[in-house]
Amino acid sequence: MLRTSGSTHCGFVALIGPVLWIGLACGSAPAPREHGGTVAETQDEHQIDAQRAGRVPVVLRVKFEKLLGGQKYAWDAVTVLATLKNESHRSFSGRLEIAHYDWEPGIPSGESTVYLQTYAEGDESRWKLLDGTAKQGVSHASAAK
Amino acid sequence: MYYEDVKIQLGETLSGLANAYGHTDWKKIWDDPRNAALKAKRGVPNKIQPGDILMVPIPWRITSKTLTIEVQGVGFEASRDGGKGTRLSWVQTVFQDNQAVTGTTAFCVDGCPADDDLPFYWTEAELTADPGRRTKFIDHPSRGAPTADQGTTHWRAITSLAVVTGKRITVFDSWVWGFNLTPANAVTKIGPRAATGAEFAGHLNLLKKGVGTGTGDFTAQGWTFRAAP
Repeated sequence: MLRTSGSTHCGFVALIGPVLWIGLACGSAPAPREHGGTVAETQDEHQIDAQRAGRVPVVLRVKFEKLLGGQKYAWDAVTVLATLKNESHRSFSGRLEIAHYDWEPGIPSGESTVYLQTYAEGDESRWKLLDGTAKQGVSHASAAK
Repeated sequence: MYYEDVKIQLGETLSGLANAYGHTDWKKIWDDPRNAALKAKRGVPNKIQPGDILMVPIPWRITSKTLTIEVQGVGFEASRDGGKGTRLSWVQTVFQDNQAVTGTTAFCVDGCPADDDLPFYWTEAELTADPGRRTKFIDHPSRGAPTADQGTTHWRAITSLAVVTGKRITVFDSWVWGFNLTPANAVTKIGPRAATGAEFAGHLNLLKKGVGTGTGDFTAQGWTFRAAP
């Protein structure tokens, strides 16, 4: 079974089980993201852990939507409900994908506060939970409604 | 086992190099027959000079590996023998089939998306935080259930040990593993099994053409990749 997708420029073929391993565009193009506000839009001291907030540039209140999966990192899709802290150069609203190590817990169902650091140093287009885990990067979780 | 040819740089010592390549005893390198000529020329280790070629035996192998089925993917964990060694690392390339994540393409070098500008699985920050990662590999890939239109997701990885000398990366002991995930959420694990020659060639090619967070692919950055001689 031959599988192809996207533009090809790697030019090799190797057999992996039932799948033909075909070199395609080998890199990852960062998804375009909105950049903007630097000021926290809302603040609710009852939904934020000040100690963890002090370790990250961004704290959001989010609602978990679905696990997208991944490798090394798994990605959770969430809806941003409120921005509790934002020292980045972009704004947060609508749907956002947040990474965590795929062997560590991610964002739970329902609403929660997430503490975010950049996924890659100096790149504000992608974000991950503090220390790559919900153990550090999530607080004030409420049950799914 | 293979031998890594290492050109001595100013300030390097035999014991320091032994440690960097995972050896606890520099005598095993110095007394290796492949270094007989150098030993005869310099006499004692502290007389080695910049430009001398030291042949460092690399006997390390992946000594344990487990692959377990999880809810929507698998967990692969592996470890190797030898010391931590600052010139020893892991590399992985992946095929994401019909479920490439967050702006990536089906084939990429892991971390995928790139989490730094180097071709290795662990970032320098992660190794600093936990030096034990130099001898350990862990990945628990997963996906959401594909739609009926997408059909089964065939996720695959090739994971290897890597020895880093300057910007030359020697890739060896390569293992194929992965999973199939059906629209009904049924997971089948694949492997782990040794990579075939063709698979390894594809793996090396992906590494050469892979990209990090910076500009240009890894080859353009000056990295070279080779099989163990």
